[in-house]
Amino acid sequence: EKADSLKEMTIEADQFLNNGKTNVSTFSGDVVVVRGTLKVKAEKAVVTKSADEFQHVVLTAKPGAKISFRQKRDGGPDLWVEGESEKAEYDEKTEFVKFLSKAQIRYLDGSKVTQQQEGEFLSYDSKNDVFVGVNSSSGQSVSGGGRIKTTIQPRTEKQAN
Amino acid sequence: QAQTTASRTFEEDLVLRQKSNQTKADDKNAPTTVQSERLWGRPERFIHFENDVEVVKGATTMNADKATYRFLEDEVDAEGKVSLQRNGDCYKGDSARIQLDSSSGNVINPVYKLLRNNAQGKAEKIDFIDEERSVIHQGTYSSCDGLDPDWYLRAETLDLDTGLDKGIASKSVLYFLGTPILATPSLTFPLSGARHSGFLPPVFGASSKGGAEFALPYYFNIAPNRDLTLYPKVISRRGLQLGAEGRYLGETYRGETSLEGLNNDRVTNTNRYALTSVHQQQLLPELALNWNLNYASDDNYPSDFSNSITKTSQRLLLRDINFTYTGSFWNLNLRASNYQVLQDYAAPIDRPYDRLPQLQFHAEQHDVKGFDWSADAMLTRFWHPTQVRGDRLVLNPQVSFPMVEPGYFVVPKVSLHATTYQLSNIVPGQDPNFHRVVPTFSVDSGLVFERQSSLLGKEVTQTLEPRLFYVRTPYREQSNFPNFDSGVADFNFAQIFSENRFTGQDRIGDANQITAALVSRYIEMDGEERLKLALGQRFYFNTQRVTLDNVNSPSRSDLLLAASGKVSPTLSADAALQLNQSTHQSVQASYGIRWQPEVKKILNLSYRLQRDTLKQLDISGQWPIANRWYAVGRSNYSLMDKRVVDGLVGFEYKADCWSLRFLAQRFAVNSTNNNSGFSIQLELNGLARLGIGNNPIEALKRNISGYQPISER
Amino acid sequence: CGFTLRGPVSFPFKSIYIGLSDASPLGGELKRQIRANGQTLITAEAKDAEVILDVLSETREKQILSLNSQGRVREYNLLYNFRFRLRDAVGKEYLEPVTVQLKRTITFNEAQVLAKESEEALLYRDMQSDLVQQIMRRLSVVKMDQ
Repeated sequence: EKADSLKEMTIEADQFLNNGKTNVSTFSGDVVVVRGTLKVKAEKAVVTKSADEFQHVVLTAKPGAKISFRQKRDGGPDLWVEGESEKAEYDEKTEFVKFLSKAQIRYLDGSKVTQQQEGEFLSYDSKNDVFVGVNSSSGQSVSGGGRIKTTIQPRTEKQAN
Repeated sequence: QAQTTASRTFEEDLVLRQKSNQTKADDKNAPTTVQSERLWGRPERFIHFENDVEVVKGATTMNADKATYRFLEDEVDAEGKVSLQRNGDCYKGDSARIQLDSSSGNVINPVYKLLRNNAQGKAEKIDFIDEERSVIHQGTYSSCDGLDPDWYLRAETLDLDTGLDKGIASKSVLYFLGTPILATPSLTFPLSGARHSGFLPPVFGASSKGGAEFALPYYFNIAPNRDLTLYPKVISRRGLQLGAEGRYLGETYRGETSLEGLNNDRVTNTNRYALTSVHQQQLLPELALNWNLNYASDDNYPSDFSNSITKTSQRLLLRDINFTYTGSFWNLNLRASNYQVLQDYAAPIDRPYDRLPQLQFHAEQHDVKGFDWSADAMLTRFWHPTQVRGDRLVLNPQVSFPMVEPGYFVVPKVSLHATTYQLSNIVPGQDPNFHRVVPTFSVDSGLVFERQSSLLGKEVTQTLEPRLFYVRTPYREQSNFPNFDSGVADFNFAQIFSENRFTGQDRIGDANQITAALVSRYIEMDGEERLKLALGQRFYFNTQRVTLDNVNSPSRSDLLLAASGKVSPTLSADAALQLNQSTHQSVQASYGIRWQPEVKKILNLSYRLQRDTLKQLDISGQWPIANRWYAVGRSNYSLMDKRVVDGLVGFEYKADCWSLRFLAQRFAVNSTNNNSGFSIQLELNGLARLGIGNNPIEALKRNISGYQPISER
Repeated sequence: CGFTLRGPVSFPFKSIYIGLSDASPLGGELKRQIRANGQTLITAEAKDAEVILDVLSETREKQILSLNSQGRVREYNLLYNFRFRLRDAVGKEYLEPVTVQLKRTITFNEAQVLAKESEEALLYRDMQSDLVQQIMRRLSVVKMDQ
């Protein structure tokens, strides 16, 4: 949701470790990142503060588990986006979130999934409202390297008109 | 005659339509899944997919290099080596668009192949209207494989409707081996043989009587159970003939009526027309109406206007209307019937009696305290322009006491045949009234023996069925009785066990005779009768005094032999011989052999003899003579007249997706000359049959028993 | 030489429904023969019967066999084709569709056309009783335990 970019980002976790020199701080154990309606849960988050005070967060999940996120979307009273992946990166400045390896994103209208994407690399640029999907977590598409699957549900009568 | 690709009966067509409706998968609310190596887009607006994109929705699958999905229009556009699969049909083109919810859309520069009748072709564009209908623009259509098919139809637009099973080509040109052979404003053809309104392929023809002919039939598929075929035909020497044939099938009725008319025939400057109409209807559950009406405007109509043998050789056209009321164990039939005689003055035919009307009553009951009884009554008014006329009443009660067991049967029967005549239009002095009462006593008895044995290595049950049939009918003077409907019956195994050697009711033959017969059948394990041998002879204890038109009374006894069945898996034979004991001459004989090693490879040979009337040798066959070439032929040679009475020779060429038939036919029309016809037929599988002359397949099926068109699997 | 009198024809089913109306002569004669045979019950309704005789087609045809030199028909072939199958009420097939074909030859002469009409009826009745025997024989060898 556009309004989230004006909100301030908070991160909670069981432990917190800050390395003054490199201004890198690491959160671990039930990490929850909140920014307006965006809410991300993960096992570990490594936050690096850039010179212009913007934070770059890299989140990872417990082995075998997944990071999960949920955010409200513009354009409707009850539109949401949610998803999981094994690893994620979020850049406060570019407002660019990347979900890597076995990522899945679902767009919901209320509780009904209208569209869904699964793949190795799914990213969302909320400032320009653009999402990208690539078949390898490097971010560059590898020909023959597997494919991203998108499922679009048929539009119900309500949506159609 | 209109040539439809496969003139199906209504029933087959209805079943086909119902089947096609069930298989339509309901794709409307199936999800769409898209796979690609890369994608990007804006939520709720569009998604671009790239690299190895595959879109699947219900029965439709699309592969392409790139595709874009637009949410608002709910459409997917694809470019780059697009291949689209839809209900089994596949299309390959440069780009394509699919509307997801209505599954309409189009493909640009497609090459397509339809699953249904593996037709294929290319086009500038194909529009999908909905799940079943598509329109091919500036495209070609052919059922031949490969890039340059032997034949193809190029059309401006080609509407294919797999739901209604029909294709309509507008402004189409048909190319065969590269040369255009037919251009039509609109041509309808069935995608799988069902029937639809539209022009049928034109029919060219030529006959010695009418000169060149051209007909362009149009077919109205009015309703699933009603259709009408119109065939205007230009006959060069005679003029324009209009023909119409209507068929209808209802819950309680069915029928077919065809009418042909040519006013002011330039050869005879008279009006020439013909009608045939057949109708059956169940007016009430017990009351049925049937009519069978045939009429021709003049004697030479059949030989002038049709080159099909069945019509030409019929000189007697039946006109019959009857009502039948069916009770629980009886029925009552009221009919009016007479024949139109198409006279041939070279060998004149005498006019049969009219029956205007005839009332028939029949009742029978079985196992009434062990007895079977039946009663027949018939009141008929016979009319004839010149000969004696009369009303005739016949009463014929019968009672029998059948003792039937699986191994034997004995059936004594007593019957009475009472007849009274009231004649008119008689020669002065001739008695107008006649009566006759004739009792008949008969005993039919037989045994059935069985044993297991083997025939050609196969285990069979062989039966041995001796049978004795004694008939005693006293003599009644009948020589001056009128003869309206009696004749001497053929002497065969059906007649040998009936009491009266004459058919009809006007002559009751005196009889003191015993018929002995021995039948042996070889029955396979599945109950099929593989081979049947039969031997029968009748012994007359006194000479028969009732004769008909003073045919010399049959000799002391005749021998009857018959054998029919499969001698080997590919060879079947049947033979029947009637041997006159006193003259030791065969009265009637027919021997036939059929050798059919495989389908479309058959030879028939038969010899038929009817003492003093017919002696014919009949050879017919269908045989592959070279790669893809088949020869078909028949020669029915009359040994008495030293002349081929009914001959036919033809060739068939079978390519993968079309077949060509040449046929020359010659049959006797009357005592002096023959009618010869020539026809060529090009059958384009899945499109139509184009022909010159009469449909050869009908003539081949009639002339060569066991013939199968090479285009059929 | 091994021949014995034929024993009773037993059908491997207790009840049968014949898919032919009583008004049809073939239906009447077939039902009479089955009743005369003893142990099999003919039901009035298809649902009460153990097996159902489905009539797929019953056609009679008259084909020209030979002409004389004046082009007049001198012989016809009378054909009687009957195609049927045996199934139970649910649709399980005991006897797959089978066609019985019968043929009789009849001579013809325009002068006796009325007499030939009744002779044709005689030949069709003869084919009909032959057909009934063949149907009965096929019913008696049906395997019920497929």
